[in-house]
Amino acid sequence: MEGHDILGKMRKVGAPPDFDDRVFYRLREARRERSRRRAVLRYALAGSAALFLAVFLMLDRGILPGRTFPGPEGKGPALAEKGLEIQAPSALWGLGEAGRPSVPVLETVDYADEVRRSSPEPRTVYILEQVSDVRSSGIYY
Amino acid sequence: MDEQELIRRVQNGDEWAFGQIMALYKDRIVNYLYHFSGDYQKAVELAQETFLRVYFKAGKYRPIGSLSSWIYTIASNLAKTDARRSRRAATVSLDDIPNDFASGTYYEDPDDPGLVRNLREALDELHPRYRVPVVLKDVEGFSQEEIARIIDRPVGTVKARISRGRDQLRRKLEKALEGRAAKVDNEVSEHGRA
Repeated sequence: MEGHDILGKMRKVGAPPDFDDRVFYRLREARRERSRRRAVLRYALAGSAALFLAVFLMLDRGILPGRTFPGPEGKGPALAEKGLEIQAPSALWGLGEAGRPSVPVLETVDYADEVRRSSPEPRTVYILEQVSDVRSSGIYY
Repeated sequence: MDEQELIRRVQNGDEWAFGQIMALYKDRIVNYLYHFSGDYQKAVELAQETFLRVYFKAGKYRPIGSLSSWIYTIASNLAKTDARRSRRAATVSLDDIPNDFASGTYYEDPDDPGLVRNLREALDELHPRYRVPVVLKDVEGFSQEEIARIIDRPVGTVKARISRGRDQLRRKLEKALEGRAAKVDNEVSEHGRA
């Protein structure tokens, strides 16, 4: 007799009498556990979102160090409205190398001359002509 | 009420319908898992887990195959996972376990406990890949097409696995028979000398 023939004739077993009760008990437990996990997950998500928002606001408000900078003239009120601290240039004065006092030189740069014109039209040239008879002088461009 | 209607109700959270499905399948599932694992307590536990999954995953059931195939699929997956875990948890080397086939008695009588033990041990040694289709075919009486649906493999693969599994089972039983015969011969010769 082959093994697989005997397999079919092996003793059959059934579920114990309290099988249904145990399954229903575990079902109720599993449901409770699931709802508990869902609640924990909900609170965890809300907490992490709140934490993220708090960190974002802290960075945005400049609470963290190294966030102060001098602002350009005229922009003070606008920046102050945003809660950004503005320092006067004199506040940057201090002791430089070898303990000698140093004054920072702030130079404004007009970037208009640095940028190449993109318009294909030729630049307008104004010719200034002398209209007075008092002095004779050349025409300056 | 047919099975499809029952599972539809379970999908809506009907516990009564769930109880009906459990009443229909609990004995078959426990029997299947018992023959797979060889441990009745474990079989009952896995069967309980199977029905819990039937309840919670009912929404995923699609009436393409039969309900029984779906439930057996869940049970088979749980049994395979458990077998894998048990293998990992085993701390004793297989080489240290004595081959006990020779200690059983082999008679061609299915009621004989020695044969059942030999068969049980031979089944335990079969890889789950072969054990699942063999038990589904020879114990539960599923067709090859149904087994293919349950284990989600082509019918050709199922045929090959059943054939290979049976072959391994036969060889193991023959080995047990030879071992017993050798043991009896030794005992006879020792008694003869005495």
